Amino acid sequence: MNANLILPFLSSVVMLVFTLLVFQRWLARRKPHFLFWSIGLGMFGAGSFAEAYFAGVGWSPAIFFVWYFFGAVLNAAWIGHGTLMLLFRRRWTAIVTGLLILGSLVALFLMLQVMPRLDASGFTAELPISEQYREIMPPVSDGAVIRLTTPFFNIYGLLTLVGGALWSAWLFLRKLVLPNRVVGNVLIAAGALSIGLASTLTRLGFGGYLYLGELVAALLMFAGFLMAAAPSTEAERSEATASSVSAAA
Amino acid sequence: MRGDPDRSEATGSGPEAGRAPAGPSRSPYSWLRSKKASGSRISSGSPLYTRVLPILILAMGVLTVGLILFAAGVILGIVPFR
Repeated sequence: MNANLILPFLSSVVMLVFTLLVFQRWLARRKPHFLFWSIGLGMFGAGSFAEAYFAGVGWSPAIFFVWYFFGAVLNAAWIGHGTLMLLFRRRWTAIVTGLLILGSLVALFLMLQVMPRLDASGFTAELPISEQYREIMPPVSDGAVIRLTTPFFNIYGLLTLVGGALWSAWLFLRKLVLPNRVVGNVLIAAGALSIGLASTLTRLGFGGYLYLGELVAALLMFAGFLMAAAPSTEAERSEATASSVSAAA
Repeated sequence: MRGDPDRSEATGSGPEAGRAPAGPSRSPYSWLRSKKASGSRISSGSPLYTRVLPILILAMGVLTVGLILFAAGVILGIVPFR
């Protein structure tokens, strides 16, 4: 059994279901955080699918574009931005949205610039792409400026996604309400940290853990979402409403 | 990322959370409603919610700060870019 194929394939299947579920919620409710989450989750799934493609089919520059641009650069920031949109419904979030879109367009330009200079002569389907991309992409000093952008997007994504989930879990815990949302948010934070740790290990040269980290992240975040978003019982709804009223009074 | 909650739900709670409103409009059956609503409350004696999860949240917060500092180190050139 080829772990380099199976692990990312499973991740992409989980993320596909997850993305469709969140997108369906956006269609039903038109809340912007669902849209950003579904875009970010779709990017995550596309990155995982690209890894499975490299292991099962072989090299493709277009698939490398998908893997690096959506999987390594953008996805965490877009998912995290969804959390920001949920937690803060203020006018300044529109400015942050503009900055995220602008930053993503700049990253797209930089990525397209580096594409003709990829060198896949040493590519092998036996190794995870996370252990080979440094040889495939030129160094930063040689024009691969896109590589410098990943820490910015990922810091933003980690801060908003993990920070937002932990903050939400803490708020519910402190008030001793809605245990499903406490546990759900903790699972989401743990999943996001799992991929954050795996990415950091990749940065340190241990790219072999990335695929496992992705699968753990996909499963934990999906489980967390299902738990946190589980339909409230009538009793829960009435309690939440009553507490909002008492908090406002 | 969090689940789906509406903001009204997310802001919920306070010392009066889950109790039926007091006053003349209080129904004689409000004690029953109050009992039903307690299903969405966390027991203050639960070790999972009073000990395990707070420690886990704190640990994950520290880990998050560590990862952010690492990424900042990459940006600042302190951590060698590979």
